[in-house]
Amino acid sequence: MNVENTQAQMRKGILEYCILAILNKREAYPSEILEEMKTAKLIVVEGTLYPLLTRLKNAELLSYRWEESQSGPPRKYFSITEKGKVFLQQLNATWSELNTAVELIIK
Amino acid sequence: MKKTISIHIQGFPFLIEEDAFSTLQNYMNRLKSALNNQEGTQEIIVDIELRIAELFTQKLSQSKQVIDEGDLSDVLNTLGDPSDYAEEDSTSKAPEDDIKEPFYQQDLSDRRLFRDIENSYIGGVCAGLGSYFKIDVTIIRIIWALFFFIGGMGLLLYILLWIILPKPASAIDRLKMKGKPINVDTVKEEVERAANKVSEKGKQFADNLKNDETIRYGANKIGRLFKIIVGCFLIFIGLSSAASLIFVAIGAEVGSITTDGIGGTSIYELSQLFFNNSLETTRAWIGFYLCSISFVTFCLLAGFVLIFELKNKWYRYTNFALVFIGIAGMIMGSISFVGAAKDYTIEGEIEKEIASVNADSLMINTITHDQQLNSEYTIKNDPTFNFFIDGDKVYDYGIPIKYHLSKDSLFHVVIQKEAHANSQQKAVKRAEAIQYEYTVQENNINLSTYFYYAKKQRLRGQSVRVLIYVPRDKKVYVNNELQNIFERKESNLTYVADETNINIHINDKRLDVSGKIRSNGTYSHYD
Repeated sequence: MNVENTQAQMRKGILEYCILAILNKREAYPSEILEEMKTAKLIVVEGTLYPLLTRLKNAELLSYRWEESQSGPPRKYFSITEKGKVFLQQLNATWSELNTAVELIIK
Repeated sequence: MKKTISIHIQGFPFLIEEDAFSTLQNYMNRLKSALNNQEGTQEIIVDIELRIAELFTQKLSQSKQVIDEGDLSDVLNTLGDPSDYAEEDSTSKAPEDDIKEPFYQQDLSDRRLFRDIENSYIGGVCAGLGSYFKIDVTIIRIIWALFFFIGGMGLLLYILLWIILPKPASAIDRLKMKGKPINVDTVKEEVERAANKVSEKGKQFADNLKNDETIRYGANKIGRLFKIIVGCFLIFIGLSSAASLIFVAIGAEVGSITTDGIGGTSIYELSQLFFNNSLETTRAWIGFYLCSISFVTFCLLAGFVLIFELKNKWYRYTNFALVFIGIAGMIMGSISFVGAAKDYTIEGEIEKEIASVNADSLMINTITHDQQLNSEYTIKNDPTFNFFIDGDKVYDYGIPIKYHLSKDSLFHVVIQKEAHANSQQKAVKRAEAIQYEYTVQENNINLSTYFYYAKKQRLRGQSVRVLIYVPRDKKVYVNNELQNIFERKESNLTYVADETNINIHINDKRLDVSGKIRSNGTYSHYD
């Protein structure tokens, strides 16, 4: 068993949650979502985002609109849906549950 | 100067160096295969291409209009490698091996029973059974261990199955073992899984060998099994000893030893007769109980500790204490025992002539009374017993009689009493304390069938003998039957007693002339 695999697994688990949380604050381009994660020191590779965003959009938790840009191709501008907000609330609960549990366990 | 290739990404044109182009192509191919036709693959590819286009645009300017390797490298690093991000959904596939699937979903028709080597503890028999029946391996192991101890057939059956059941020899066998459907996908999966496991095991082994862990792990497993076996064994011993102890404890007071020789005496009473005094008796019993109870407790405790791997150091302390108590008990018992044994060492013998008779014949009669009824009635179906404790007296049945040649012409009857103690004086006193009843009327001697003494004299090898000195060729009648003193008939031959001491030699074997008065009053000659 590889520690990087497990680490990747752990990160992948919360990625969806983070994306929804970020979009809950404001609408954003994928690159902006990435920036915020980088600021929070969450190490993600850009490519990871796209399949996730697509999945979340297909599940109707997110929606987007195309924005033309002066310097190059158009970009998708994502925002969270009502369904997405409800989903996010539930993930919030799970997150604090997990957080407390793990903190207790590793003591 | 370099060659460029003109491409467009999502409708946006770019000039890209030849080398960079192949790298890009390669990346896109890998991306496509990594995505593996997940839902929304097309969309994902479009998104990524758009992002690539965006990044490319940022790299370009008035002075730089072609994407080179360096640019591409930057862009691809930003995006990350497809293998890192593109297999999202494949990780949601559950690890197939050890998770129980609902029974009804399994197709049992193509299952075969194998020994599951990968998950084995010893030979994989239980693991294989677990796979086949879809029952947790541990439960099968527990059941097996039970079979092992009840009747012991478990071991044989295990070895039998170990020999009979085959190892899975290929991926297909492994699939059959787990009852999975056999098709290209599952076989591919299984091969990969096994290969991974092998390489994992290999790496693990190499790592552990460095830390000596596998060896310790294997040894731990064996040690664990061994501990469990020893633990069960100890508990078994503990329980059976406890059971015997309870029987003894009950029997010691209440029950009686009913052999032919002794009737109606309990172990406790006997022990009172054996030990020197009541203090010693008590000490001996306390010692015995301490020793046996601590032994039982020790076995049970040690058994549990081993089986359940209890770590609490108090268990160890308790066990030490128990051993200590047990030894103390043994010492106590031994002290009492040795004290009693010492009281056996010296023999004291006294004798008294009760009659000297001038007559042609001596008439010996045995007196039977039944001291239980204290009357002249005898109990009809009394078993022949030799030893009896009643109230505060000990009764010992059976009096041997020995015949000797009289030095003069008179019959002499002598009673000998013997007892043991740790000194001559005490031994003689003990002998004197023996009571034996008889009456003498001219040439009629009435002898009792038993002797007795007080309980507080204790069992110290007391005995009573009657010696009868017979003048040559005179007659002795016992219970009105003439007894052969000077000759003995055996298989048509007559042997004559010798001159000096009345011994009869038969085939070079020297026999004394003797007899015994039995408890029921009968007499047997040449006993």
